[in-house]
Amino acid sequence: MTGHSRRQFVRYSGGAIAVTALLAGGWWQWTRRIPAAMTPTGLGAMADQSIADMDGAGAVGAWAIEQYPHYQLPVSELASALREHLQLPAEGPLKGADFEARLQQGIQTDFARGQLIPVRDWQLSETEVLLAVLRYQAAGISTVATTQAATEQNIVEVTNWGPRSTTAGTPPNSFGEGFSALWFDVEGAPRWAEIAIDGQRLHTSYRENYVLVASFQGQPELQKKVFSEPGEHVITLHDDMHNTWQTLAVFAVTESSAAQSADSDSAPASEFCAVTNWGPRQTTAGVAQHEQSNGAMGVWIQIKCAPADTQIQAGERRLKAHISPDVITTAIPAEMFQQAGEIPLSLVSDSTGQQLSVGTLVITAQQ
Amino acid sequence: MLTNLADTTDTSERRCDLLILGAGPAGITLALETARAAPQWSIILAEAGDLEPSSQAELELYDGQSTGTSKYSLTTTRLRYFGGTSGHWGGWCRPLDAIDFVARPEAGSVGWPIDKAELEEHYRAAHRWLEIADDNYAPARLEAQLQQQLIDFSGSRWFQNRLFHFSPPTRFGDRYRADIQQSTQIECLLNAAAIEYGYAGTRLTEVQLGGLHQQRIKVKPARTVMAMGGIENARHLLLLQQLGWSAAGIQSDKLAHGFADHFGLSPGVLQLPADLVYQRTGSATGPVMPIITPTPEALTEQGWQNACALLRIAPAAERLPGSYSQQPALGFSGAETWTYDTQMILEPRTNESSRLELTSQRDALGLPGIRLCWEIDPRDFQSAQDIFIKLTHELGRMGLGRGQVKPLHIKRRLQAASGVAHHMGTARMATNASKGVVDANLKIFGTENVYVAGSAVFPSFGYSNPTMTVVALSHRLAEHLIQA
Ligand SMILES: Cc1cc2nc3c(=O)[nH]c(=O)nc-3n(C[C@H](O)[C@H](O)[C@H](O)COP(=O)(O)OP(=O)(O)OC[C@H]3O[C@@H](n4cnc5c(N)ncnc54)[C@H](O)[C@@H]3O)c2cc1C
Repeated sequence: MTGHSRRQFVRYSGGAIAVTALLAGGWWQWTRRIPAAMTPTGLGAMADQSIADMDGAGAVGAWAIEQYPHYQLPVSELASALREHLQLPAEGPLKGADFEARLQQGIQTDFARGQLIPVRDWQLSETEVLLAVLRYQAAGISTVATTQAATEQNIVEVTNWGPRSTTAGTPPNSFGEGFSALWFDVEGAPRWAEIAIDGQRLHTSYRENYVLVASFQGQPELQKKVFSEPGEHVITLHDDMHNTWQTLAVFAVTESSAAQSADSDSAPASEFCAVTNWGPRQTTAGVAQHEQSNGAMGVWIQIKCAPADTQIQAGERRLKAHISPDVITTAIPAEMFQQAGEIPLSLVSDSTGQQLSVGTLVITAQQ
Repeated sequence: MLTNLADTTDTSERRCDLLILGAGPAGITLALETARAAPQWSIILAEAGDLEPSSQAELELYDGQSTGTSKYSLTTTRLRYFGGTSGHWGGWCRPLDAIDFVARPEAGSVGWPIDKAELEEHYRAAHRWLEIADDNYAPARLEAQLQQQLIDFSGSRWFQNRLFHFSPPTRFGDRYRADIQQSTQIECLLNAAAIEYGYAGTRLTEVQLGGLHQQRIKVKPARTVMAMGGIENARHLLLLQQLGWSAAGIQSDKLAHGFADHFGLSPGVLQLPADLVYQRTGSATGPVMPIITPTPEALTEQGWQNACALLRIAPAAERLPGSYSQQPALGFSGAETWTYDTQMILEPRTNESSRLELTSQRDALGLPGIRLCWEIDPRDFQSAQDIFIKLTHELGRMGLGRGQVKPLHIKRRLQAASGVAHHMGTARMATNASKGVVDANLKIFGTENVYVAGSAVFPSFGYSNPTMTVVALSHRLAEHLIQA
């Protein structure tokens, strides 16, 4: 081994270790790095450009050397071996297109003849392993494995979903099978997409008619945790193939009716008690949070008691309210949040005019 | 006509042209087909269970011991009531391949004494019984969009695309109850398990039927077909062996030996073009499941056991770095690739040491207990892995992708193997009693009037689920009984 290649060996074997270490933990994916200055292979500038462009080949080369240290050879030796293997002229520059065509052919022939080398259990052709090692020796790794956080992206359109809320201690949709399930009417969900609640993956199945069902099957502890206390739970969709995710909805667990009846001594209520929570409190112009099938935005207000004829005053508009034991919901029509601004919300008893302020929904301008 | 033995007042001795023991898919098909073709025959269909799923006490009659490398549940893999195990079967259907009938010692397959052509007409009938509209198992007639989601193997001598079809799934007990009930020729006795046999020379002369209730009935049939499922059939034949009946098939070394079930193996991961469908999916003619299988030529040339592969999208599997598998210079098309976990279903080799035995215990009906020793031949795993490796080579050659082969760890896989409730091979069909228990017409060697129906008679197994072949064989047996 020459002094130069020994230095290279140290440098590259360090690289290989780094790759291995990164691979060992967590979700990882391959990202591209600008190749370091490339040692000319002697195959000519065009062939070298092709080699430099082969994203991922350097990392495969590192794997191969890690597994088969005898591949740790100087670039010139590897290039000659490749020429011989592909029956290319022993000397002189090669045309890029010719080189690529011979490569493809060489790989095909290897596969047809079973001339293969397992690299990390991947069945690779002798030609491609030789090329990958050459790429690694000459230019290092242009692709490195990184543990990368998934990116938020719009994966699907949710047209409807349910159930949207429950009272504490009452897991929804128990189906008599002991576990809860939520459904989402979506379009375009990849078949492997998984739904999570508070970041915890749920058993997700894809039914015909574009319905994704997320169930707590096999996760009784999580089910208990989510549904036993009042609060909000963010539901997200994850596409691991493309490392992306999207917020789908927020599930509300409202205070239990037992707690409510302990607190309020007369039912039905003739007066409002205090609003304990409500949401969403903010949105971007044109964006319906908790979108309803008609494009309206769903808003929920947690309150233990309210008159049966309660309606919602949203700015100038009087909206219909849907009253459940612990939560009142309404739909803000799409035309009301197309522009930046504020919408004050309050609860109003239609017969008595009694009013209770809830808060102000802030609509921010689009970026 | 349906009669419940537990509460009938008429327990007088019965005589009939045909006694069928067991009202699962095999027994019901046989009863109705025979009745249709021979209107003069009187048929008794004796079913151990009732019209509804059996009680715990009745299910315990199925229990026994399980030894062997892989554990086996004797109770959850079969049902004991009218309609048999079709009460919860999955409906996956496919005839055996022609090559599955051929003896291929190198692949551990003893072969059938009949070829597939002999069954073609009966397979067609089985599609009607199982309510499957399409009997075409090559994907050529699938709609274009679905075909585009399959790998084009037209240039490959090694692999091909094939299909599974799906029965709704037909619950024989529900679907054919009215037919049995309305038949004036068939008396279906419920809660009527075979518990004792009488024989003389080469003839089975009488069968005693009973249950956990106290009523008993004696039937003197002209001929009897055992259709109690692949385990109970063997158990009752072993009982006849124990009683000393000298009929050659009953005394055959092969009786209750060579028990087999299908099982799966996940040999590795493939990185292939996006959006392939090798899973159950809808099609214009009903649900189908495309599969990848070796061609018959490849099986013959390589001595592989038959097998098929399904692909399950596996987003979290290890991938090749960057856009490696999209590089045209490395022979790929440049299209997006996904990772898929490969799930193979294998044809098991006939393994003589995989067997059923009687124990000294007795169940509540006085029948001897059973011990199942399910033994998988380790070569089964090797064969599947060899096929998978070849598949990775072929996909590489075609410029479609690469495959990662998982280490085999045979011992671990043997322990983890889990069957899929296909009870096959315990009363195999053969040319003579040194090789099997029943002849090509399903008659027990050395007897004049006893037959076996169901997957017990399969001498070799393919990878296809058995019920379609079970029903086809019953259809053929009906024809034979009437002509004989
Ligand atoms: C969970 C599960 C899923 C399956 N999925 C599929 C599938 O997708 N595709 C497929 O092809 N196959 C499948 N099978 C297998 C399929 O169920 C059997 O191949 C089929 O039921 C066999 O029919 P049979 O009539 O031979 O036996 P069985 O259906 O088992 O019927 C035997 C009958 O005999 C009765 N009997 C038992 N003992 C006695 C006695 N002493 N006297 C009188 N009667 C008796 C029983 O009560 C029963 O009614 C599955 C099996 C299970 C358990």
